[in-house]
Amino acid sequence: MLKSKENRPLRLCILSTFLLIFFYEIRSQIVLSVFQDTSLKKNYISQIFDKQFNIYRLSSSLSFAQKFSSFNVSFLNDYEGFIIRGNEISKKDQEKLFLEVDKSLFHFLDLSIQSNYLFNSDTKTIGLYEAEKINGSVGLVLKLPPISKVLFTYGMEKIKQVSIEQYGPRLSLGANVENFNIIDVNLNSKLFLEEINLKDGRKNSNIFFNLKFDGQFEENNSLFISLDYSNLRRDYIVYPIYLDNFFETRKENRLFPTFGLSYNLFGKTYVNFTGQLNLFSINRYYNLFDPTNQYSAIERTLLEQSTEFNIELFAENKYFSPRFGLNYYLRNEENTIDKKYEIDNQTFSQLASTELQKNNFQNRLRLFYNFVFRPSKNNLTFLNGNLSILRYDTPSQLNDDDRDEFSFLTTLSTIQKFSEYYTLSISFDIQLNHLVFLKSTKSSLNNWNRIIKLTASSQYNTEFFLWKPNLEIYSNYLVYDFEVASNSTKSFAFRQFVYRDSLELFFSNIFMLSSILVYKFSERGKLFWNTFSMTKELGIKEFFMRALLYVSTKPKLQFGFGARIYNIKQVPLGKSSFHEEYSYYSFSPETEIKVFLGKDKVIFLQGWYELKFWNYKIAGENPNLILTTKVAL
Amino acid sequence: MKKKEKIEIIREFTSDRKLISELEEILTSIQLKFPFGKDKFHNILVATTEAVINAIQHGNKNDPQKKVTVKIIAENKTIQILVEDEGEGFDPSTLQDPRTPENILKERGRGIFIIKELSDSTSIVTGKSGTVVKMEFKI
Repeated sequence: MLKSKENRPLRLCILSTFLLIFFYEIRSQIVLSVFQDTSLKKNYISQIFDKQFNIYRLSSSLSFAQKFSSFNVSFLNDYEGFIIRGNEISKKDQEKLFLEVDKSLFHFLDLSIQSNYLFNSDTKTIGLYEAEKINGSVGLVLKLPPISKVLFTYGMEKIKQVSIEQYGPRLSLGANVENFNIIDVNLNSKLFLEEINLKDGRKNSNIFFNLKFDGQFEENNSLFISLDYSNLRRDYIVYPIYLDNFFETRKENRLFPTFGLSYNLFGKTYVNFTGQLNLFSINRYYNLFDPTNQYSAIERTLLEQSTEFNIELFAENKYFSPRFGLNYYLRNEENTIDKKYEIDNQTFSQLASTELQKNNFQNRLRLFYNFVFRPSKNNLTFLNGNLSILRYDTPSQLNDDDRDEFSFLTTLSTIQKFSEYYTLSISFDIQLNHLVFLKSTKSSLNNWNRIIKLTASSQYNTEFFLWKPNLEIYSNYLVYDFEVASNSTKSFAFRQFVYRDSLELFFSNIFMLSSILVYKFSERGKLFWNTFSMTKELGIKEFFMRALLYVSTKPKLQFGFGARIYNIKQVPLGKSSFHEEYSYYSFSPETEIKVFLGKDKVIFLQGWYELKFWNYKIAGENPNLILTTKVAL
Repeated sequence: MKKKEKIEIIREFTSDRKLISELEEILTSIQLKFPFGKDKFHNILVATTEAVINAIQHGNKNDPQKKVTVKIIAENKTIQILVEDEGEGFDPSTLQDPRTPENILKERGRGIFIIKELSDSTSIVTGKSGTVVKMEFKI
């Protein structure tokens, strides 16, 4: 519905391919790649249409997998499209379509045919993401235990980026090993290679490799070692020239080894250790020199190395379970350029300086804890906390983001069940952040941020009603270290009170009332930390209420009707306030219809007609609609 | 033939929010040449103020070195206002309608909601070099 007409031939092509395969059991030249996730566990069709305010959304999904006498068919289609209507209409579409047919030739050999279709379009972007891809391949799957599958395929792929369409042969090879046992150690491995050769040396390729050893020793001790490697190459059409022989190559390499150990120290006390290393690089260069694009004369390289270690010590007891941990993270990013075509030294130096400004080094130490108390079967109390220190350095003199960040966050919560009908929970959060920029140019932004939050909620649950009131008080104080020296940064305080309430009344099997009420009040102003006083500048009150009476008819229909009200009122407080006063109010009669067609088959329709008022004057209306259908096949 | 009138004003604001009061003066000067009602004046002022506050707080993150540029074009019974910040951009699809029970507790999204409600057309273009909020008002 939201797609352009240009895609219709492709969609028809896919549909006809599907029918051809389905009825004539494979005589096609279409695609494959068994090593994609094609496990379709449930067959279903679902559709959502949603119109709220000026945003229209349509999403649909179809999943189908069926085993026939001599072959298996899997089909998957996902589509999501948005339209935002204003004076200009903007659209965004995404579609994925996948089809696979497997036919067993011998007990160790299958014939596999696959087709993939991908479509992306976004009118808000510059156009490069406007892309469409369709491929079709045919191949053989060799089943050799313990190597569960080896797949070789050959086919064709068509790629359309912006207005450039190209075709090329597609070759892929995949293999996997599942649960191969070597002396109590489990081995799993996957390999996937894919290459698509397009015109004038343009090509796209993928290499993915994964190897994992894991073992369980005794009841509570285990370890794993894994290695992931990927190598991707993409040749993109260049913005804004759009010639089919001018492209930018992007090569991405990643090596990612990880290690993990769980060890039972004594009794019910354990230690967990994980470590990982991430080596990552991206190379970008153009295949031709364009005098109007200085980046086409150079090759850009990004190198990123990061490592992370995590150690946790914990105990599991009936009444008390403590956990302590330490995490260390270190990351280095380096950006460099090299000359690929002739370029003057001054331009090259400028580009090198721009790249140098991106370089950074960061390390973070984090300590965390979690204590869980279970004094009785009706009480659960826990204390969580997290303390971290981050150092962020940039070698370039032109980048002044160098900073230290200190952060502390702790939460104390208790949940008490007083009876089978009544549960109370109280939670108290404290957050403290200190930000220090290391260069004087940004030191006016150095600040302490303190946040305190207290939440109390309870639940009454009887045969006739369910009531969940919730109260929250929140304070946020941001204090700049050098505000006296800077006219433009002012410390501020933000305080908020929120009451939220939901109530469900069950009058009978036929009638039920459901309501939600939210009241929020917040104020913001200049903060004077030394005297802990505040000059109020702005107050906002927000109110929302929705109440619906539901009528259920046996056995398949539920009908609800009621209304929703929303109000937001902004009030400038004090003489120094620069805010404007306004009040927005909307009232919407609302209805809901739910139709149950059987197990996992539901149609849901919801609509509300919004009447809007600005500063107590009528300001228009707006219909809203949501239609959801989900049918299990 | 009568020449079409056009006013184009560009102002740069640092992250000092006091400068927002300038907006009122600019709109008053436009109102002298392109007469429009008191309610419309209020709508334009509220929407523009919300856009500038958003740009300062969420876009530039109160950084005094970063600027907010406001461009106002009045022409043919339309006032077009563009507010541009120097922040790192954001994903507009993450801003949801605050008038729903699941979103009312969220901190963000009020400013854009008010702008959309008050203007006749709004568009947001956002990227790593900043965000531009474009509003159009029919007068």
